[in-house]
Amino acid sequence: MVVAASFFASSFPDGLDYLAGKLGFLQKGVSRSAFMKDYSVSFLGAGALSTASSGIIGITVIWCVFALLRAILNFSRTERKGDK
Amino acid sequence: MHIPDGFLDSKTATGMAAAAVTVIVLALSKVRALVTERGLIPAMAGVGAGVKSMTGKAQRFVGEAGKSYLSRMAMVTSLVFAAQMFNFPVAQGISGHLLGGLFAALFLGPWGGALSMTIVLIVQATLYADGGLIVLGANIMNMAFFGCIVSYFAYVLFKKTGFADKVSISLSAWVSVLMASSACALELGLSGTHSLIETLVSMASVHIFIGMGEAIITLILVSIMKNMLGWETYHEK
Repeated sequence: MVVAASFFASSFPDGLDYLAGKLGFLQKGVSRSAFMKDYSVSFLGAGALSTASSGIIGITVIWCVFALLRAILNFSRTERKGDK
Repeated sequence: MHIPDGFLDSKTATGMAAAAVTVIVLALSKVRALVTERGLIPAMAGVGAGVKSMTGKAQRFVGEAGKSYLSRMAMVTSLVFAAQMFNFPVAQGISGHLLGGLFAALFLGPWGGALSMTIVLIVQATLYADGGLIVLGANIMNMAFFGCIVSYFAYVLFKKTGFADKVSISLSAWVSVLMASSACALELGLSGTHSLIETLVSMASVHIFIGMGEAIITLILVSIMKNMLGWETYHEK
């Protein structure tokens, strides 16, 4: 789904960015660099392939978060006081 | 709708962070209660009585129902994340993307939905620089609290008023975007970034249309999940 959708993404700024530009406070925003800024993997440049890869990496990270969450919930087995 | 760093002043950002931490702690405890059950750990069932008498305590573990809830939560979270990556054009020069707050809350419940949205926002802010780190609390309040929790209760309210399910979904999806964007405008106004009234009016007038997109996409996604995957919404259970 991510791969398919990456070909259709609109390049217009979203509602908040548009207004920030229109009302003149866009320059207040601080731009940071990040590994996959603007949803493209830095070494793959821009384009659908890069967007799709960054999406797949993101989803992998999310699944890892849930695996971790489940492990934590399973290991904190002992009942604490006041638990129902 | 993701606020970047620099748009909010420090007092607003700090206040929102404190509110967001409260919401996350509440959501975590609700989800923990939902996915864990008390009793003997199945793997130790054979020696269960002995183990129990040794520790003298009941134990909590993730049961079958909890496992299926967590994997559904992972799926919903990935879906919301993927959907938020892609913008649909609303008018010339403006685009919007799915928020997915109501969608997540419909299948995970308000608290599970909020937790799912929070995970999406944290991943976006840390890995993609989409939404600032200092203003992460504000983004969580806008999209997880207003977008999931409040919009879910709006949905329940619409249902109780007697609206059909699809109408309630559309209305509350639309409301969720409007609420999240108004909260965002309010924070911008409070920070003195721009005049409150003008920000509020412009945000609302753009997001009235983005909200319609949200309503349509939410309806489509909900019907796909129900018909193709056989999922039940949280409310139906």
